[in-house]
Amino acid sequence: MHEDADIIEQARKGSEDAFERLVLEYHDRLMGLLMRTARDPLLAQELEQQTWIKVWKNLPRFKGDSSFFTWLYSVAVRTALDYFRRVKRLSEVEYMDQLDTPGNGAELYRPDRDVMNTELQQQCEQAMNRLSEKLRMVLVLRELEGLSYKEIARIMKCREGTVMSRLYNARKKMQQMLKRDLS
Amino acid sequence: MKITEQILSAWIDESLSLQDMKTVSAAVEADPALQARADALRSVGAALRQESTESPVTAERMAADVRRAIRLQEQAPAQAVRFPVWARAGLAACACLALAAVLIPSMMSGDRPVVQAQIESVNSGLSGVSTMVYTDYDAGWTVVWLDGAELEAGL
Repeated sequence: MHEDADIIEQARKGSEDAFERLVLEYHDRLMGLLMRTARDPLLAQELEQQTWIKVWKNLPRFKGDSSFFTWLYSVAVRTALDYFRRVKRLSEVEYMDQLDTPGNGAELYRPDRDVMNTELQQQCEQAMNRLSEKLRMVLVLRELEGLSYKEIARIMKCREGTVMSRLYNARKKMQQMLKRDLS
Repeated sequence: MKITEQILSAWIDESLSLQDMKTVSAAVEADPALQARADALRSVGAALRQESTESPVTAERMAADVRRAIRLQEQAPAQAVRFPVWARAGLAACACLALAAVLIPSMMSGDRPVVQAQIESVNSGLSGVSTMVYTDYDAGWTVVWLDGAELEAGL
């Protein structure tokens, strides 16, 4: 992705217009990540807004050690994981019940059925809903964003070995669930 | 080298060392079962890419919402400092201890004389010398004074 250093620098200095250009430029990818992770359009929208507010507040501290995109994603991932942690803490029992009940996953997500029209897509949705947020996140970052293990480790604040094992677990679980559902 | 599924998963991501990449590639090429396992792992990504994620909001709308939210936050008065629960519990415990430290000794000192201060005349055994003792129970003072002509002469 093209990163306009000037725009980032202007936004760092407090230019609202420059910041708005960043929102316009990165919205689609950020929303894609959050939609696939949160499994709820409204929640994804809320998380994206929170992410941008944090980015605006912390932009002056962005030193450019990593690319802006990686930094932005790490803010989004932390925002989403913090949210899931809070929700889990509030309703641990309900959440576990949802995860343990087969077929309930689809209720977490309300996709546009005109678009989601194949059986495989539906099974894929349900399987994704049943994965934990961390596994879902790592899968999306690798398979859909095409990020390297190093970048994912940086974004998720973990080691590359952890990324490798989470990716394997995510793939294996998805594979098992897809196989079971389709059979 | 034993090719586990985890290594296979890293191999399809091209995230192994150059040497390991070569070893696994050769093994996969030579073993159809291994190739099938690798394909099965790859199929997860392919299935994911078919999933639609239509954004519920346009980029322009998001930008406007974010701008509004930031302005609202900046206009809002600074929030009072909120201590975490553990700090609040600690402060409450300290306050209780301080209160107890003040109240308990005063409650236990029930044998204290009702009189707050008194002056007594004591016989010193010296002729012409008057001795007075002033006791202040509240302040904890005891003042003794001697007065007399003989005493002054002796000093």
